[in-house]
Amino acid sequence: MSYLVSPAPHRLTRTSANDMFMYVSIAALSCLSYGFFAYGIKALIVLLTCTLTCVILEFGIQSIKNAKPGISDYSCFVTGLILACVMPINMPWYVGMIAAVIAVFSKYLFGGLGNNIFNPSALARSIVGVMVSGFSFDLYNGETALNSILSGNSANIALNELMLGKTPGAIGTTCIAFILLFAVILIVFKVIRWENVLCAAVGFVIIIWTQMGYESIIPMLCSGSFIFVTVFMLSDPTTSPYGFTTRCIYAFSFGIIAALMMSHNVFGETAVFLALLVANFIAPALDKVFSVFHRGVRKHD
Amino acid sequence: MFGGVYLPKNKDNSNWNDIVEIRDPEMFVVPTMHSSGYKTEITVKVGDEVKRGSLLAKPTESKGYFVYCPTSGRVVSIIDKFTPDGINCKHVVIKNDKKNTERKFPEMVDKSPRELLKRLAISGIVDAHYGGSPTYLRYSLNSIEKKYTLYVVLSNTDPYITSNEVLTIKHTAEVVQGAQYFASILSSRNIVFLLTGRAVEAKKALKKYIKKNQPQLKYEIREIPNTYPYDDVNLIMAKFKNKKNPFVEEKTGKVFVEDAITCYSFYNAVENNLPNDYRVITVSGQDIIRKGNYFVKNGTSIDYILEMVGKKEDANIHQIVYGGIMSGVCLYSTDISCGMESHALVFASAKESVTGKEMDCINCGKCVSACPMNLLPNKLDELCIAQKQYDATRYGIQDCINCGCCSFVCPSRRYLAQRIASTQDKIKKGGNK
Repeated sequence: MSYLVSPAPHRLTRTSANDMFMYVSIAALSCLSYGFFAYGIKALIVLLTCTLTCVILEFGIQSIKNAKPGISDYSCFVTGLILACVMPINMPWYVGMIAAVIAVFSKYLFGGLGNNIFNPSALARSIVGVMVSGFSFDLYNGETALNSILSGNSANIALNELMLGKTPGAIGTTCIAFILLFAVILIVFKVIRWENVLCAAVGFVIIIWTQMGYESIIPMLCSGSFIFVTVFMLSDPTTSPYGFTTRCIYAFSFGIIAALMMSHNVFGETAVFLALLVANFIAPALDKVFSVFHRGVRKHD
Repeated sequence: MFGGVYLPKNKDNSNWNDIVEIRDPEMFVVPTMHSSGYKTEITVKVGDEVKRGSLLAKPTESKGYFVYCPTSGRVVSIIDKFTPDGINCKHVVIKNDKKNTERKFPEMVDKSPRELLKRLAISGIVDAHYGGSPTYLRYSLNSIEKKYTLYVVLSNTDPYITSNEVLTIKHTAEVVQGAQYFASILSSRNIVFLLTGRAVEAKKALKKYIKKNQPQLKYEIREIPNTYPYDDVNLIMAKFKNKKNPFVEEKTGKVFVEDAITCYSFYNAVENNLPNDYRVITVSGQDIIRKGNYFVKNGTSIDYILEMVGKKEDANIHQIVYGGIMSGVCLYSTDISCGMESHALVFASAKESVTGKEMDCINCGKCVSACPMNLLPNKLDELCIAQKQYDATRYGIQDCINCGCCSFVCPSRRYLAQRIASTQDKIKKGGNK
């Protein structure tokens, strides 16, 4: 009889990286399902173009890299689904495809899974957002919540409408109650970190309070995809720092930058994604600076 | 205090209330080494009649093992064989004659530190928690003059190891007495007992015994977290050096760490004049019928233990782990003799083990927060793959205690602990390059 011989440890945690990707995919898909309810077939087309392009590209790249064709992990589903969530509903189908191509290549140009500096979906959405800002047609089926708050019509928006997602916005990001529910579930499953969500919210609230007054805090929090980005994109393990303190600083700075950009109406709905890119950009630097607090790390000669 | 992983309690543990002595097998194959780096010479010849407690091997130089015969009988042969840790050494094969004749040490009249140290040296006690080295080597005559602290680990954080805890509950007097002898060698004023939070019964038993029988004893009970590896001796020592030790307030001096089994064996060597030739081992696994704690003699084969504890009819034993589930070694065969360097033996079925394909690192930082030594396992892994030993030493690879927490928590199933351990070996052998 033969026995398995392996080096210690002989037990591993049950949750693998693929499980984490799967949980996030399910949560994003559920957020999208609200979009189907609100917008119908249009939302489905966006979902299919984004996700299929991501999966096909991933399949192609993995087949070139490895001897065996196939996808090695489910991260491409996460990218595609989150991208579909943050897309405006009236975006032409080819724009979704371009965004998906940018997202996948932004990951592989840095060396594949785990090596990218920027969140792929955020990068793709910001490039596309800046690109189509010249388009003259209505991307969101009406004035978005963020636009109406910034143009001074905040009285028109009721809080329960914001919570239930009855205002125009990106497909999967409008129903705040739904997203918060998934935030709690994902935190319990240890897929995303509570300190990220909390610190980002604190930073955001402080800036909005000083810039716009306390009555704008909740409408601003619930508009412009801020909560969706905080829950689904800020907590991306790859692009966030790996220490507790550094994560807090990272999330806090994201909150501040997002609040500043949103309150000054820089690029409208795209602002929060650009803010995330800035936060992503400082994450490796934070890691580098804070690594001296770890045992044994000596200064380089 | 940071790091570590929480391992849920093994549900079967509640029934393991007694320590059973395993019946002697027909043949003993006694290993003469438990850890590499020591030299021993065999003092018996083939055909010699031996009693229980006869000397089988003794150290050639100052470092080495005293190995005593676990049974009475005749030396059949002396063979080369592998120990569980993979050391090729001489094994003495003894045929049991079932007469149970015994040989003991002379009675101890003077129990001064010097005499106790002499008895410790010849008693044949082996550490389980220091990787199988002889206990007496850590103590020296110089240490009698200085004042040191003694820590006794009475329960383990690994859910598969209950031997220390059960021994504390069942043989409290012997354990406490043995700890006092160790303390007397060190001339330390008080003894610190380390117990995990979930070892409630052991704590009760210990307090009750000391209150009733030795009210003058100066002792302290400190609770260690239930998270693995806070009972690890290397961690206790390292944290002490780092002045971040949760257990120690004193800022200078040396720490001595013993466990319940060592104290129990030392008590027997001093009071009952018995050489140490056994170890309390927790035998567990899903397909095992009589799980529990056993007195296992040195040189009992794994095959025989499996036969005695019994496996279920449809048992499919997938993996045999000698030692704790987090830090033990795997055995490739059952034809191996059980030595004295382990606390546990796990016959794991396929259901119990979780395996997965290694993926790319997703940079989540879970290993960083799990590392009890506050290292950067992800960075070390990167350097190990690139074979940059010199850079790895600058990131503190030599401080790694090989607890395996990083590999445990990694969602990408990366072989972090394994790679770090092999690079540590390379650095030790080849120096910094």
